[in-house]
Amino acid sequence: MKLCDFVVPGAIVPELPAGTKESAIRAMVASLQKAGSIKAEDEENIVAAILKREELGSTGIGRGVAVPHTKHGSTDKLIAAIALAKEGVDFASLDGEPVYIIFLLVSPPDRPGDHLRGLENISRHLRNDHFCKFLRQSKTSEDIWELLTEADNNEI
Amino acid sequence: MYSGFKAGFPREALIYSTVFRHFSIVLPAYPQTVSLGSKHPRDERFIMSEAVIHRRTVTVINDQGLHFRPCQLIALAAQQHQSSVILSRGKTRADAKSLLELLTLAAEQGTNLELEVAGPDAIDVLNEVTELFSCGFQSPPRAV
Repeated sequence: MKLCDFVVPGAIVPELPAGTKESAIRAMVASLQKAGSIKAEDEENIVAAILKREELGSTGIGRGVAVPHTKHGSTDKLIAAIALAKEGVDFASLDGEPVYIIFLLVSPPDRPGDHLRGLENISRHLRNDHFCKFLRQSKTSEDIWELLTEADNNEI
Repeated sequence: MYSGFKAGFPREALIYSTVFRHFSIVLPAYPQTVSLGSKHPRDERFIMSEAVIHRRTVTVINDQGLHFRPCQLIALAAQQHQSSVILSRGKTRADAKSLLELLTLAAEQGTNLELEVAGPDAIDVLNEVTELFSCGFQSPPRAV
């Protein structure tokens, strides 16, 4: 599985407006809806599910990165949105630092293996300091997509 | 903090020194390097006891596999101990104190992982992490 297999090209937000964890999650789920990956009637329910998951423990994993996620019956395949927050978002991360890179995952409940492989893929690339640095420097959706393609091809 | 095994060292030859432990340095455990400045016999016994790597096979029994939350619980448990904790799936080795590394294991239900622990509180952390796996990450580990 590669990043470009599950990141939705239309759900890349290169510059999130300054705001809260909730507003960031809402904007990213909205981008998935606008891209046609989830239905409008499921949008609020997915936001609520992701926020509920965050209550169990923040998905801010340090290094300025968060991976909010949920398993939801409205999708039949793993999908992801990416957002950059230049100002940083308070995600109540483990290290107490703001978050600048957000990967938001929605996966079907009956395919836990896909969810694990999505997390594996994202984590593997996030361990690469160059990947994080280049991602944060990206200005447009096209820049980000190109970076994901290079990461998939182990060119970073 | 003691940071665990460093990639590239032969596993069997790992030890860390009581002299350098505060500097997070891992040294190869060749017998001729063991003394490291201190000739007190007690130091050497201590070093020898920490050279032991405790291994146990653990199985992922929960139906969702080793997803974010289980990895978080393992990392939190491992971080509370001084010993190094490594979880391996085949050739993929993860420092169990790192959530990011644990997530790269992508271990589904039924996967066997090798748990390797070395350090002064090795048995405690071995039992604690094993308990997390055996209860399917549903309840906090038993107090040791």
